[in-house]
Amino acid sequence: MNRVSERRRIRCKVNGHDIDREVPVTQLLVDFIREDLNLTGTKRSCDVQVCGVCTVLVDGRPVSACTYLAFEADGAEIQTIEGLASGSELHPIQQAFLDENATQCGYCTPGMILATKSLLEDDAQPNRERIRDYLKGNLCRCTGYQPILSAVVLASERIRHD
Amino acid sequence: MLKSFRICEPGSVEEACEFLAQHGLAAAVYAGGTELLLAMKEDLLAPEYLVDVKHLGLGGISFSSSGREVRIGATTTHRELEAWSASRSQWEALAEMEHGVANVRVRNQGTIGGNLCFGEPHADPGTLLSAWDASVEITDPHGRRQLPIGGFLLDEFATALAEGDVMTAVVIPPAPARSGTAYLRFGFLERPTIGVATQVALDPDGETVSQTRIAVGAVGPRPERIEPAESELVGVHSGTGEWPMAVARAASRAAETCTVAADAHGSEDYKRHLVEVFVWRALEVARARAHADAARNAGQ
Repeated sequence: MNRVSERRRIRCKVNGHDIDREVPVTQLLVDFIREDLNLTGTKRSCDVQVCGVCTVLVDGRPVSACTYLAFEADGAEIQTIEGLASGSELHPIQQAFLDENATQCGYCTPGMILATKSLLEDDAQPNRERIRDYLKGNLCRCTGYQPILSAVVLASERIRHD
Repeated sequence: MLKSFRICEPGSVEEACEFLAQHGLAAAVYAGGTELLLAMKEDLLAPEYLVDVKHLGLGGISFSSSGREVRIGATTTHRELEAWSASRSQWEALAEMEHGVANVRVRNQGTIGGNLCFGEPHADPGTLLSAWDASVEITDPHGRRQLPIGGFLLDEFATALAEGDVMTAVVIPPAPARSGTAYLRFGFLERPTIGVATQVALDPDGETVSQTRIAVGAVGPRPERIEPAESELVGVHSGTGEWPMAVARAASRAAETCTVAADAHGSEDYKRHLVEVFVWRALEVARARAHADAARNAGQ
């Protein structure tokens, strides 16, 4: 039987917290995260899946929250930039970005860090070519990318030696 | 927030087809959403119903009983295809093509079927599938049919899909013996400015070209097989000075005869130049792979 709906109940985990909400099926994940959950670390810019600033991890995989319907998150584990630090201790990727000055205006940084997390889970020791290739879908107009590359290398070293 | 629509979750492919036939243009097939949602944001499409086909068992990659034909379910994501082909040496061209699609986020969400059904000319999969003479399987309220990819992708954003149709699979026929395929893409924007797929197959001597296929995509309204260029290479000895001369002729024929449209990616002249260069390069890669395949077969 066809099930036709305008609203859907979603039960998911966001940064480890249980969420149980009803959402309109037209709602985009980026709006659900920013407006309903008040997690404004996830940014919106190009709105067409090119720039990467809205990157969040859904079951560990990076997606563009700007082009992902929120109801699809039912049953998923979502991670946003707010979920990385433990208390006042930054995640090693965040710390590496800070130490390498890999952020200037900061707008791309949440997406860049989440994409990096997904890369390092897939490949604990990526070379620079792999890093460039993986992060090519995350745009930064400030840094010229070199500090970001260095930060990813540093983060991978620290995570491996922890 | 997007404009108002409702999600329809059918219980089977047949129900999806019936719903689509009943609602016509008011309903759109929804899978990854990477093309559809963008068109809806731009108000180019405003369906009242999105028919979600992700939960109908249309995903997955399988070999036919003979073990050589490959069936790719329409809702298989680019990332799944990328991972599948990267672990199989004979499928390097598929791995290269899929790895080049957009970015990792789009590949996680977007499906092979959605990509083809959208008919976006600046896309990669249709070009490689054209070089392989692949087919698409379409289910409608009355049954199933298969169409060659060339008879499916008709024009920019235009396909052979009718109301009530759901693409259910892509079927890739077995590769010829002693053959190699290459896919090269180039562009400075998110989508390809050009994609070229070539296949070279060799005679049992492992040297003489028995068959060549050249498909060019993204520069025109749809991927195009360039048969006058293909025939330049048949019978050519691929290990001698004959080869570079024939490749030069084929690349030049492709550049002359290919359908090209000027757009934001470049002028017609520029694109014809790209066709010549990339057909040349792709033929060299395909030749090297055909030689490697022939050597592997001879060693068995």
